[in-house]
Amino acid sequence: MIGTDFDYLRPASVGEALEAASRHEDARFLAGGHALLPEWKLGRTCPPTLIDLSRIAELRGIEVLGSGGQARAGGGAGAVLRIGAMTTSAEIEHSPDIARHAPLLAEAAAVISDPLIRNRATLGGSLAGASPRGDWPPVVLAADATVHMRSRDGERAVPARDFFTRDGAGTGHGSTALRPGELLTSVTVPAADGRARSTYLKRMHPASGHAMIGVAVAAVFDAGGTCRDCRIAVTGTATAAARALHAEAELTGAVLSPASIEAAAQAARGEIAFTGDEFGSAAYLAQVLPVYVSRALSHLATPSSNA
Amino acid sequence: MSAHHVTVTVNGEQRTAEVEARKLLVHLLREDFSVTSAHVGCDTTQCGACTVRLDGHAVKSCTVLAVQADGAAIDTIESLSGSGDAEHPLLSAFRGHHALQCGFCTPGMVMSSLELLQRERNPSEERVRAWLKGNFCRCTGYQNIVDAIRAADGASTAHEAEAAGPGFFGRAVWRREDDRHLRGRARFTDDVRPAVAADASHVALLRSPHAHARIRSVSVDRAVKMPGVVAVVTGADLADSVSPLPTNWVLPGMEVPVHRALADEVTRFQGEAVAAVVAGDAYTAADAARAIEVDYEPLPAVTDPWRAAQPGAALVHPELGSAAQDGNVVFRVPIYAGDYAAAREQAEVVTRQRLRNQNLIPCALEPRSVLADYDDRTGKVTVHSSTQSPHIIKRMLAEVLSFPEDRLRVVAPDVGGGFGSKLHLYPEEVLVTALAIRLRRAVKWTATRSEDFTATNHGRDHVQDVELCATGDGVITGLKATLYANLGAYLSGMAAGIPTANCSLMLTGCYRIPNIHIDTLGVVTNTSRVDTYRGAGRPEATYLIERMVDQLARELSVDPAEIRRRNFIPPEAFPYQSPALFVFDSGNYEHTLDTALGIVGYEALRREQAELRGQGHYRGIGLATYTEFTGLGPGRDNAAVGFAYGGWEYARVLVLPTGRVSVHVGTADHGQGHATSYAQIAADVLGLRPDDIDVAEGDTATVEFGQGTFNSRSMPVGGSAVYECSQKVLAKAKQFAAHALAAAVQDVRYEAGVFTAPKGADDGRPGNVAWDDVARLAHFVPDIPPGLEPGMDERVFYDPKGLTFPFGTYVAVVDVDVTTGDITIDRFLAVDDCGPLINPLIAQGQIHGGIAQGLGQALLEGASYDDHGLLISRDWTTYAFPRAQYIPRLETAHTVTPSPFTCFGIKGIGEAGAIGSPPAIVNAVLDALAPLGVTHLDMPLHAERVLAAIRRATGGHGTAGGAP
Repeated sequence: MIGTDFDYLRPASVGEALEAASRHEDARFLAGGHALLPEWKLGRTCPPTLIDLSRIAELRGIEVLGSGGQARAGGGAGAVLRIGAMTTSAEIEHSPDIARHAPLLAEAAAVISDPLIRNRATLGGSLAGASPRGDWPPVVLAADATVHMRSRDGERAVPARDFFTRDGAGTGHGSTALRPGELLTSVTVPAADGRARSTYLKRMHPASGHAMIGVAVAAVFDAGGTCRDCRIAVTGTATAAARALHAEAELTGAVLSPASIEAAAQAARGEIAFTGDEFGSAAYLAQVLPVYVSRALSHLATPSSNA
Repeated sequence: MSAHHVTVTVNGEQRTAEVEARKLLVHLLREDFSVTSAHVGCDTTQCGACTVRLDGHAVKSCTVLAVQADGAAIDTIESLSGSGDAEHPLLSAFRGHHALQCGFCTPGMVMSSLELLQRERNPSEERVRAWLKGNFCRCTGYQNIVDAIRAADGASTAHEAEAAGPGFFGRAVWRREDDRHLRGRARFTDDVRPAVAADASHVALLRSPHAHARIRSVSVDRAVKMPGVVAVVTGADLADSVSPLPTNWVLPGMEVPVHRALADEVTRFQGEAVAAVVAGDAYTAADAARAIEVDYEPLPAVTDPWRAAQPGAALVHPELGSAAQDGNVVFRVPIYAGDYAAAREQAEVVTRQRLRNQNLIPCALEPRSVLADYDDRTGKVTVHSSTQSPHIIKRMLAEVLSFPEDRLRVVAPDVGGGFGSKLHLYPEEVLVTALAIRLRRAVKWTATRSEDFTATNHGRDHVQDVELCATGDGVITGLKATLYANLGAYLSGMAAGIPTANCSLMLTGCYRIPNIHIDTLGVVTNTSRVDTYRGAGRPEATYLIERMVDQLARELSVDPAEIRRRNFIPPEAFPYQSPALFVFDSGNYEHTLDTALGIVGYEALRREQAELRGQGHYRGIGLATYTEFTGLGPGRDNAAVGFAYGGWEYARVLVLPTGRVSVHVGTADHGQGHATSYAQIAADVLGLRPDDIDVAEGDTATVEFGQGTFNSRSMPVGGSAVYECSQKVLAKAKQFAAHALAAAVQDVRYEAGVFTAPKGADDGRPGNVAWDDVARLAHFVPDIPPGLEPGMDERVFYDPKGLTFPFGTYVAVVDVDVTTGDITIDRFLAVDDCGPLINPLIAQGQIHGGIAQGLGQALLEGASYDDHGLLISRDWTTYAFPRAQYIPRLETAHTVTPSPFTCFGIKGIGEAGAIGSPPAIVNAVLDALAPLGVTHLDMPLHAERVLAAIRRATGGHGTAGGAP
């Protein structure tokens, strides 16, 4: 049960939501509620006002946009997927557009929490909460996504790599670039093309079900098999998801081989710090991270990884 | 307080309510709309017992606000049962595959899997298990649920098994219990409404946040003044009217610490209740409890039983007379036989180890709940409680509250799992009942999951120092052990008996070990009470001996199956007098071992293992051969060990004038299918069909006497009671029939509902009379046979002739990933022998569930405490409850070695799964890692622990047994 009562508002538009937030001190936006309500039940938070975003149509929907920003079918070079902040993980998991243009997101969605939670938990809520053990942060990092937010001062777009920070008004354990009074409205993801390969590998915490280690990789290879561009992002870290830049550097310009994979895996170990617990100490997670990086990268070498 | 108008469609019907913003959808359904099939099993959004469909999608209704659901369509399991239609295939499949036991998880499980089947055709086993990540089950071990879901999709209609032969004993009869659960009509304690009042007042308990503390002061002023608060009580308020909770097992010379329902001066475990608030609703009660101010002075705490037993450890009960001398050790029981010292001296091999059987949290999916309803007109109290022993609770409540026992009624309605944790008297049962009497109203308390973690008894928690002596051929000559058993802060009902009678008397396992030297220390600590939990002492014993036998085998390079053969008690030795008191009724260990090894293809497995090792692949094969005892117990034997339970079981069989039969039994089902099973037994004796027989349990007003359900006793003792009582009724029926047929009783034959007698050539006597007619004759008595009373109503207090000893062989095949320490179970086989099976479906379900809990112990679970004595594993985000994807496919088989002591030779089977599986798994992992030099691991086998052991061993530091 929830220990404290609160004011509950249900605006019909983003503008109304922002206005409500400005009028109510310490108001929280309610997306899927599957991070906020559990915290509340355990008495760890008690916002005086909740602003339910579920009626705001603008925040829903998955669209394929051309490079000019217009919706169009078929994707193609420069195409971008726009995912509304209130899109649930289940909707992402089962979306044909996402399966086609951003398979990494579909693959990751399928291992988030459980299917019941996925029917409610939203992409926007998960990113704004930026839990160090959440699956979406490393995935949007690896997908080179852009996070869109709006305040009463206007709109901004922040690339994923700048979204997870140590400062900011984030609602979760981690911190984000969201400022007070700002609402995350959508996430855009460049459509993956034929030469892109990606995967998300998660070591599930046996009790909480979250990611003890989550490794998201996305890479583009040229016709000769050389890696042109790669992003390796890791969750389960002490503060927030992060890109393993040194690991990426080992692979960029190289061909995927046991040697280059091992080099990347070991590089990742050096640059990622963990918080551990009874099911895996920080030292253990650091020890085992190279195994997960290595497995994820090896997965890219198999032909089916682009499916 | 906010007020919102909410309109929802529930199962097709429009409903409205005025609610606070904070009201959860699950509470809207349960409280405002009386849709109680959505259950609350946790407070961390994990267990899925609350799963409903919201606008077509399965969601956890505990994590949706009622206001969020405004305007939505909600469907619960009730919506699947249309009137008169054919049953929904998913419900049929659940029924036919025995996919439910206690039923608490079932509505959520069904609503969740409904969506899976809507999304995907023919989901694979792996897919189904992954889907069920958010739907916990503690009873079934998931396999039957997975099979049911997959079968439902195949649109195959499950049919009940045809009879292999005459009679219902041995048949896989579908459970009659399933109906109410599948229709959403179960009644768990939290579902029950008071008899007269619209709703009960609610109790919230203020609990100590410290492991050990002195209470300097308690101020309830703010709480008492809050609107809606009816009463606030502290320990001081109850000191004169409520006696301490007694224990039922007192060993000779043992002092029993005083356990008050509310702590008054000192709190001794995290979660001990300090004050109780009664209010009009649960929210107000919780708010008021938070407003009580307690000034605590924290005291040093100790949670580990070995540490607590050491001189100088912080004292949990310094007030005990024994404390000065023995500290926290409240009993020391020596069990010596033969001459261990000589055996030790002559031994060619001595092997030692320190073993830990970790503290476990039973995690029955239904949190405990108590509703006490005081009837002001009659002065009687009806107590509904999620309990495994209503009669014992009734007796003890009467005693503790000085309340006349005949004005007390205790009802165990549907109980959502127990596993021994709901067997004993709890402070909440005392408090809620006391408050109901004092306030003259209905009062209710239901635990939250987090509360349950400390408020409900834990299990196991031994540290065991063991030494085994043997010849060079691996014949064991002696066993020495010192057991440090955690009892917790107070003695629960059977706490003293579990490490002693239940554990230490079984340490020799299946083996002939003539020289034993066992010391068992019962140690109080600052943890929750520790008592019965599935297996209750026998898992601790079996783990000890099976680990040591394997360790001996490894040291002598003898195959683990072979070493067991060299030590088994041979079949001709039964009934076998163990050196430690018990008489093992029957056993044929080698036969069961051979059966298991045959099924699993042991030789081929070993060859394959060798090949895989050559490829750097670490596979292990682990065995466990167990025997254990079920069916407590003959009254005399119970008394001899200090156990204050009569040990008998009560059965009454009565025949109504229409011929319908009612069977009453004093056991208390909490998912085991008692009603179905007892009806099968009675049907065969009475020549009827199970459908002709009603079975009642659990309500002391209907069934006046009983001992409850524990130690897998319901079938061997309760079943034997039903059998004997049915025989008594049959005997009387025959007398009526003989009279009606004008025949001698000894000439009357009875089969399938018809009594016959040989007919004279021309005397016009009826040659046969039906059961229903005999029933009518017995009640309308047109012509009473001499010496016979009217009616057919018999009762039996069945005193068991002896304990029964099921046994078995479990085989685990595992793979260990030596880069991460992760363990995969490749194969798991259980061959159990509990004599003949009454209902193979139900027996298999018990084994599946027990194994799932055993795998939980071996690989996932463990209550751990920090340096302040506080639980680190305080909810399911920190305590790893086994989910479907963690349990492998389980293979089961049976051998049949009857008991000489029971009807049909049946033995109990409810706990074996949890007894045999942990050592099988751990032995398999050690077998896998033997080439790397790993010789010991403690449960749970978390990956980090395994990896660390590998690194230590391969780095040159072997794992050594001995002191920590």
